[in-house]
Amino acid sequence: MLTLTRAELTKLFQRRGTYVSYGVMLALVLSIAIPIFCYRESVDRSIREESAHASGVPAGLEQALAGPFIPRLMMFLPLRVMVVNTLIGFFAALVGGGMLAGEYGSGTLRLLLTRPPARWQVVVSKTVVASFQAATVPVFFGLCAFAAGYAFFGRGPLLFLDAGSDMGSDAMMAPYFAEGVAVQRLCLAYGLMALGAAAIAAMGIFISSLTSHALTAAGLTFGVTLVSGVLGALGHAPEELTFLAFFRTIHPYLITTHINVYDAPLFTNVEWARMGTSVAWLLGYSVLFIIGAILVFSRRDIRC
Amino acid sequence: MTTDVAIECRGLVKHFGRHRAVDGLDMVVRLGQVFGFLGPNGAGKSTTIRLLLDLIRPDAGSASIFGRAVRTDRRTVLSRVGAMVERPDLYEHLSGRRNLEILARLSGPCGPRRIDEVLEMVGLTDRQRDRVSSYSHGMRQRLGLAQAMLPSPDLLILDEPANGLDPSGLIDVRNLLRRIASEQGVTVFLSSHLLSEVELVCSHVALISRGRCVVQGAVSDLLSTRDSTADIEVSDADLAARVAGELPFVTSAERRDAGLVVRCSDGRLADVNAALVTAGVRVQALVPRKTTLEERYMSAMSEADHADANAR
Repeated sequence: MLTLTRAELTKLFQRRGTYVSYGVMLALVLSIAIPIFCYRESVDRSIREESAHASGVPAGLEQALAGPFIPRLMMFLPLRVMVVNTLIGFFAALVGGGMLAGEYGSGTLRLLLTRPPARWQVVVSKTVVASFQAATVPVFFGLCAFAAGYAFFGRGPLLFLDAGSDMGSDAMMAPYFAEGVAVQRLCLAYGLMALGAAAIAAMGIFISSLTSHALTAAGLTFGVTLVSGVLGALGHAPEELTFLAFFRTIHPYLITTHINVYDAPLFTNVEWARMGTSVAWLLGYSVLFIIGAILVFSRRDIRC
Repeated sequence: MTTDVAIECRGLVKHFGRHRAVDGLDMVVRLGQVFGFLGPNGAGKSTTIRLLLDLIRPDAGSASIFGRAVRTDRRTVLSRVGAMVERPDLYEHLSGRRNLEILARLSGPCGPRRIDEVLEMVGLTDRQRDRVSSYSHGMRQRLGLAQAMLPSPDLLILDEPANGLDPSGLIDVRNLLRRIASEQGVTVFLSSHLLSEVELVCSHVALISRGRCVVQGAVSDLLSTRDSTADIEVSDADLAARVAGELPFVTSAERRDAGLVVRCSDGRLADVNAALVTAGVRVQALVPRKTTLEERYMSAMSEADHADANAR
């Protein structure tokens, strides 16, 4: 099993395409950090004005703005919705979807399956490797954000401007953390992102076991993630809208509901119970996808 | 469990939708044989090979290798088998050597030395560090053979191993298969369209048509018939045809150009010669005809077609 996993790791990480996801993450971080660094005075002024207009300057804001500035980078975490739900989801779908279907399409699956390891071992090792690679993308994103934050702005306290709201008036109510706590919270957030990406990759493996084309599998996986996200958004609708009651009912069971739990550590009061529940759901989903993929793949005729 | 049977198929059936790709195939390959598996396109050769390697599941019947059922003892069976199925698809983004290193990990204990050996065997030592994407079709075919031989298998299953090889490559592969069969005692099961190659390499063959085994046996037995045929050049063809035609053991004597073609019971060509000389016919040349595998194949396929037509 370990040998099989090592072989899968070698195959995946010796493919140049695998590094595209990391390149995109690095480019994204730099494209945020560099403009903020160049226009930091105007950004500071804008935040102060917004905050004075809304609810007054929160305690610590001045220190956060004046001090070394991871916050200036992290303040743009509203982009994280795009990053996590779209980019990281896309890359996870791509790696998961391509794992079995990609090898089916290229014919190399025959090489694997005419060797002694059982099919379930092939599925499990591929899931482990795809989930690992998918999980490293948000981790890499986080590391780049930290590195860029330190490089451009130095060290300091952190203001989560987007926790619970965007960069508008309510944003100034956002929590403000000392550096040590902030780093811990961010590590937790990125860890949860990684778990979500791994669950999407596991879903990709399951869908990959049903098809013969890598792009079809990746597209379907990404499509399911997007649809789940849309259904989840509808589930957030006010209770007065009774015709949306169905979406509120299914909301707790959607995979994206639990993937989005990564923002929980960014609030002042962390909802540990919600986080625990979502982690359990994500692990449960992953296990179900692996079992499903094993059941389908073990019975499949390999005609490639 | 000791057995002298390497591969055994009993009543093997496989459908794809309404198409019956393999239709009650019975076949036995014994240890040490170099076994040719012949049939026209769509006859069920590749499907049979996939069934033997557990890539697809039979609808009925059974396949066993070294006395163990492929379905239930897959791991044990495949640990003794090296295979190349259809095209030699490999990991294009990796070098030839890296491909073998990855597959070696999955094939049991075979280290760098074994990789060197198989690369040497197929003549790819010089190009082992190049990416497979830069390989020609013939080189991929050689690498496909190398990966099949990697685990030092007791049984080598090869689907069209000569495809895409140039003449020297064909000779190399032919010699290689003969060598590993004779020196290492490896049983070789190969499907091929190249009948002349099969005739040169294989000790035994099975001909299949529409998923059924039509003929099976030793190549020497299939090629030796109850009749002998010879082209005879004579001074007087008319007289020779008359004399030969009157001999009881001659089945036919037809005039052709300056001579005749005589078919007689096996081993009686010398008697034909003697009769002609006694009758005053000068025999300038007597050339026995050898039945080729191609002729045997064509006649077996023709018989199978007639049998199918009659059954319908």
